[in-house]
Amino acid sequence: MKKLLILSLFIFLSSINSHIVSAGEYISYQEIEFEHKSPRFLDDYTKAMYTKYYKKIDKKKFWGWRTHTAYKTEKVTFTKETLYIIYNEGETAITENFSFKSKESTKKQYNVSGTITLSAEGEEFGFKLGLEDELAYSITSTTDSTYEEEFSIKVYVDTNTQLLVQICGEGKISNGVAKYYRFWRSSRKGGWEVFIVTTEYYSLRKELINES
Amino acid sequence: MKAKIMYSTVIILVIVLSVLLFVKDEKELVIISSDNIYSIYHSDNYETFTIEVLTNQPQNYYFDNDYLSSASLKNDNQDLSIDITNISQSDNPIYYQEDEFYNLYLTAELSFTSDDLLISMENVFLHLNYMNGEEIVISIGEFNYLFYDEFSSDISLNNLSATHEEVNEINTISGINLELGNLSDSNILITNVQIVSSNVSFNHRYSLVRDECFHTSTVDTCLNVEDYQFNQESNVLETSFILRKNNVINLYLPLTYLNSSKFIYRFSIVVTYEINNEEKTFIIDDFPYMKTSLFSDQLEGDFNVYTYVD
Repeated sequence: MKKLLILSLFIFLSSINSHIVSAGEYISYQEIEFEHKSPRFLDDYTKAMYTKYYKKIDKKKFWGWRTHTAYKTEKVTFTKETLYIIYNEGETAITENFSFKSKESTKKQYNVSGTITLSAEGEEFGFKLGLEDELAYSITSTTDSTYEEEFSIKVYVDTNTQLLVQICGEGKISNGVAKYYRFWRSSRKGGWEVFIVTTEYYSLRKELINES
Repeated sequence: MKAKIMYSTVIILVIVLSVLLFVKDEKELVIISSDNIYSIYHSDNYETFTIEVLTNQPQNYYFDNDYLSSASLKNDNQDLSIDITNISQSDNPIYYQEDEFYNLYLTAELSFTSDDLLISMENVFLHLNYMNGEEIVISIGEFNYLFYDEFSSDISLNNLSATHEEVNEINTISGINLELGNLSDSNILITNVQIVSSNVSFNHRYSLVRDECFHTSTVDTCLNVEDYQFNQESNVLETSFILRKNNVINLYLPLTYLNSSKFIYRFSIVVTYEINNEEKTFIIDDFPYMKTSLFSDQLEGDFNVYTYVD
């Protein structure tokens, strides 16, 4: 009996001791919008949407996730912030050989709501309690993949000029709701969202420093 | 006696079948490549390029640099020795025909340098040779590598961006916005602007001076024409844009895809110009105008699939 109590206490504590991990950077992109009008981002779900979607996963389960995918790999376009800048406030022009990596954008990014949480252990980042395994059918059905790449370019930067690299791109968003059951009781519920970058477009731009 | 023989046969059959059941099937090694156009400018002695393939066995010794004895790029006429400096793999799997694959990145460099040389090879195969005498041969597409040491101080690169659209159902670069500045006190005549590639070039019949075209605009919109043909070879081989002293020029240069070329994402540009009756060259390093997977659904029909059984 004592062991059972300790075990129950451990399960209870583990369920409330959630390490807070922030959502993916795509939430803070300068611009991000769906190609079609109807899909919504998780952050834009209304109460009525949650109610409607939760009804679809009401059937109780002994242990594990029940999920509903509301929008599946919907195409989005985005504009990110400037990636790299060289300032030349000196009195003579300079020839710069610069390089940069686009690292974060190559990975999947996540967002959650309610009591669903994200984890970040080592280089692994994703939903806690194996939610992604339940969603795999809906978010990895593409062969699209990008990778970390370093490149360099030699450019001439005039005086009082800044050089910047801007990134636009396309990606895919999937989102929906999920409930986690323990002993037929829903212990966690909320919304989930996965964002995958499929293509990025780079542009190089030189501007006068006092223009910006 | 007959019964004994029958029992013995049954027992032997059960043993053989049981052994067969427990013998682990050797999984065949699959390597997939997607023909690409490599257009590289040797900007310094640290210049490398990356060949990307997919494999279902990233841990196989074929992808261990310690087992590699040599590597080269070959076609029917040329043989170029390269050094594989690093082999790495993606963290996340991707799926091709429901099987799990991983991206494999082979970083390579040329084993020599020059101050003025263009290597241009079509239908190139990567040959990987191993210590045990085995060899893997993988198609990689077109390979271009430019050595050119002189750095122009007459022209500056100001803005560089691309438009993109679906050409023959594949999303690729459709045109380039190029803003150049004249840093000299003389007028400059731009006589040619070309991509370091045999099969993808600028179509100078349609190249024009205009403000930057938005990256999602079609070539038809940028050029104000109807039904621009991406696969039509241009007979206009030179340009005559005047870049006035201490001034800038904005060009829009549409692309032409010849022969079997379908897409290009990253390339180097050579600008040829005349100043004070002297011909000079200005090189724009290879810039990744577009970054996407070589293994997208759109390209699936053109994958080269190699299967190896131990």
